[in-house]
Amino acid sequence: MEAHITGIGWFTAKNSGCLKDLDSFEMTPEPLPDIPLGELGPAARRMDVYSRLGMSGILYALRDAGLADWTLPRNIGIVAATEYACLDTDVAYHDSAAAADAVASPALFSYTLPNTFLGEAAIHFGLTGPTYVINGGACFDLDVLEMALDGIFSGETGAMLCGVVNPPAPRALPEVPPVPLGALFFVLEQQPQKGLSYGSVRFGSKGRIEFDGSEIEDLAELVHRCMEKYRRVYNTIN
Amino acid sequence: MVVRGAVTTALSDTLDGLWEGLLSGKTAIRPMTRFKTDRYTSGVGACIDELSAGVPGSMIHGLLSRLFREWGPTPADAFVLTASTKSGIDNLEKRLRGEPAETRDILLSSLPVIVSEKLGLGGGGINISAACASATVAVARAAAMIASGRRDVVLVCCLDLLTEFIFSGFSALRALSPTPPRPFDRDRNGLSPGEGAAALLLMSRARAEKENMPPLGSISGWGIANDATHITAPARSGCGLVQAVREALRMSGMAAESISAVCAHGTGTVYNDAMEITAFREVFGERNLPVFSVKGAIGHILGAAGGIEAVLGLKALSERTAPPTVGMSIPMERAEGMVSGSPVKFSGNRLLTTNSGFGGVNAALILESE
Repeated sequence: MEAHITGIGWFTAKNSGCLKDLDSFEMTPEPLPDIPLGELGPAARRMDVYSRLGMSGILYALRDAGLADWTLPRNIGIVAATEYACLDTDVAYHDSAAAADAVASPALFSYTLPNTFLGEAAIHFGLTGPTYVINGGACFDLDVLEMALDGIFSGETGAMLCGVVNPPAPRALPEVPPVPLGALFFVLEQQPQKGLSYGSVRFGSKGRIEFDGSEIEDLAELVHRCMEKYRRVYNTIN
Repeated sequence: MVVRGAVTTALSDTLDGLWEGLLSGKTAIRPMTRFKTDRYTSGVGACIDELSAGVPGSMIHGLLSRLFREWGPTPADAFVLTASTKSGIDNLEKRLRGEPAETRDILLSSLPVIVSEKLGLGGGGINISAACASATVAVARAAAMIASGRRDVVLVCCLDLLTEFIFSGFSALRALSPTPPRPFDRDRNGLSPGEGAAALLLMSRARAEKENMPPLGSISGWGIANDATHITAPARSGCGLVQAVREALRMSGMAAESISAVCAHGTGTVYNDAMEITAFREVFGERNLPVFSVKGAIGHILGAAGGIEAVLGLKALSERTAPPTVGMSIPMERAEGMVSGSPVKFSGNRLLTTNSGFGGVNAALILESE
């Protein structure tokens, strides 16, 4: 069984947008620029940085796949990997509740769960599939892609978004190691709805993930191979 | 196949103790002493009083020690899927108060490592975070990994603590009941938080036979779906839960009529319980199969709820008995004939367990006994 990569998008310090519009991909610990809120919906103003980052990556990936616009909800799921998730928001919420005469903020508390932004994405982009966050491993590890493929191959859904969302490490924990900052998402479809595929992914005979028949090491390599293939095919056509 | 299960809660440290407590209608929800509650809309919860935080360690270590006290060996190549919403959040509270606290215990990514170290495992692992459906999603993911052949043994371990962080948050959302909760009761008015943990060891049939571990039951279907409606409130139509349950049924190859009983999320809040009964009526029609919730007895244990309820669900199947919904006196509208304050015997070997959470997530598992 295989699934097609039909969209890739990211928000990083170097650049942001859809793979088709960009020349390079790099996710580093460099500080991120401000995240444009205009296309993330009215709820974006109340979201924390982690949520805005995740929404941006999802927006660009869906747009790249031609799936950003919608009329009826779609059974598309989202699985996102993150190291520090909403820990900064946890601190902000704690501070809002800590003072003797304080009234804890219910709005902030809502964002102290790593998966809340997936609910925001589900609402804004009309996605009703499985949604959850995973934590563990290195930034570009393939666990999140494996989880997404499991979901498609088990028949839970025909399409999944999968990716990484890494906001800055929480300021209250300066000792934790830095991570590449930004958001990167892939759209996987069993049957491409808009016809375009960067290539296919599957579990190879050794259980490792293969892209177009050869093993990949991590998500960053997957982006680069899709980019190289797109440029090759696009330049051939043109 | 699920070959082993364990739970630890404020009601009991063991599955048998918890089961007996449920059948007797007991509740572990009582006045809180771990922190002052005079600022909050409730003063009750289900704390494990013996849990103590060693400086600088989090209470999660004590919880895991209780959970695995009589666990036995786990195959070293087991992949670990933990499920928690906040893990060692007590240590973040300590840090923010200026007290010494182990940073590693705070990070969700550390939890599978901590569990692996505790049990001497080397198969790797990740944590699943899906709000109050975290453990249910983790069990579904474990079942998917085994069904695909990628893994033949997965340990699911879920936990969450009752801390002031959590308590204050639900108070701010005005979701707490000032008294022990009354799931599916006409006069229900909120939830009570609890704390606890569960572990389930899943294996492929071939591996279970090789390890000579008879199954407690199997996960014959699962479904996960998002309401896409609101980030904290459930969709009143129950659309996400209906989708998740129907997906689980489709995967199991069975009709709704094959389900003998339901272990529901049943938090005791007005909106959750109404949503669930709406969803169950949509799926099961007017059939009055037993529906129960255990949160009136052990509290709402957030990310661990689904794992604890999956272990209890397997116990219910083995006993062919739905435990009473502790706290329920007068069934809410449309739940008459489904929920009961007494144990209910049932026939058949399939039980549905469901959980829903913030972020619009809904998850369903179909448990099947041999």
